[in-house]
Amino acid sequence: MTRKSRRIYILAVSFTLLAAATFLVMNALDENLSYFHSPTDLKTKEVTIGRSLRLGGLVEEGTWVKLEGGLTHRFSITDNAESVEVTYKGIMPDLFREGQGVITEGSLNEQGEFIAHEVLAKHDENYMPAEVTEALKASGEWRGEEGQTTQ
Amino acid sequence: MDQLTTFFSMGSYGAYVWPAYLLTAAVMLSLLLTTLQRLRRNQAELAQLESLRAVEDQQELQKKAVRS
Amino acid sequence: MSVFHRFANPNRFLKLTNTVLPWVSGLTAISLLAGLYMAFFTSPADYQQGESVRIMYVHVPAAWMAMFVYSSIAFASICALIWRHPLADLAAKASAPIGAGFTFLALATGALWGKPMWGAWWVWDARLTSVLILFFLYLGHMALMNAFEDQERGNRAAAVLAIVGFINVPIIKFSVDWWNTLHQPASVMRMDGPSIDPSMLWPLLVMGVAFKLFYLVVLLIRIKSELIEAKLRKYRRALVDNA
Repeated sequence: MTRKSRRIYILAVSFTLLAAATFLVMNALDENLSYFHSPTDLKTKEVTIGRSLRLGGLVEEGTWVKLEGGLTHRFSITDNAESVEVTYKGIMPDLFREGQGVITEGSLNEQGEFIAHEVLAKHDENYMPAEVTEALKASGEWRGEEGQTTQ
Repeated sequence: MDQLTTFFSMGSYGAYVWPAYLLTAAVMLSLLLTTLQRLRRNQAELAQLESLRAVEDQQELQKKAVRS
Repeated sequence: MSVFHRFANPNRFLKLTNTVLPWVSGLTAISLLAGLYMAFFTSPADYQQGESVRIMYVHVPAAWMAMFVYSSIAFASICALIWRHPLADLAAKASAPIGAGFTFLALATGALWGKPMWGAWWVWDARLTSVLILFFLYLGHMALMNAFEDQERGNRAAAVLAIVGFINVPIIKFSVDWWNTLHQPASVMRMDGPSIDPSMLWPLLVMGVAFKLFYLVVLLIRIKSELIEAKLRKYRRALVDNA
């Protein structure tokens, strides 16, 4: 073997080993690498009441209610399989909408309600001009965010 | 005037949009300027050393001429 | 490899650089101006994010560059370790500060975009954390290059770090698909075509090209500078020997 091909060999083997090790570590850490749990996770897995965790999913259509003059919010988070009711006291981010993604941090109480102390809005990968959606709405073709103004 | 204010307010997101662009301009400009500055400095030093060498070579030649 | 060897010759490289540089600089300026004009005047506000979407036109190209420059450094490092090209180490050394700058920009403009949209400057999700690790890899690379008395050893150590750290690049790219993250999935480079309106895709692509050309300009000047420095070291040594 020439010195050059030996160097190629060493480099390729060590990089493959490294990639495999990384893959195994990431597989083991899979749960912990996710930033939030889905409503299904909350229903199917043992969750300690009062332990802080993050719950994420879509804000269920028609569930967003403001109480106490808009300071307290109640809404459901769904992953289209299960849904969890959330109570949050505080200011909502600009992107918080029904039908849109959201991540909340808080804990479950005895009644199975999620008491959030932080709400983050998650947006999707779609970008569209505002005028286009208005035109779609005018022609009745819009299917995107119905019930967005229901409050 | 009104158009300008609406443009700069960026639909009330001006406080986020403009810093993002200013920061980008600042980082890219400083990358370019420090790079150019270093090139100039190196070129100047190279020119100096080369002229020094040219003088030495000249002296060397003159010595040889005197000897012969 | 003959193509590499041809460009690996420093003198030929310098000659080529000097002819190419004015053209690339001009193209960079034109595409940057066109991109900015499109970003501010021809592109519309987003249906969800309003005017804040304009941060995308610097944030996304900066993030692309963060990964592109790192990949270039990893490639140059492989060439340096295996084929010992004289220019490969210089290219890696010259790229690192540029890549670090772009990674910093991706993080900072992302924070400025995240605050109004998500409601947080920063979260420790897989995407944001892996990009922060990329930033530290750049800093480590720059530190290692200059950590040794013997430049050759510094180059070798930095090259190994660059190749090992390359594992992070696909992790960044696919973090948003593999795990639940706050950061949204890809909009442009995805299997089923971009999910972004052409009126916003074009300014983004033009800015992407402009940033790439900017990297090329600064990279070429930096390599040129490094080559002159190598010559200077040789002259200085000769002067010392004479005296």
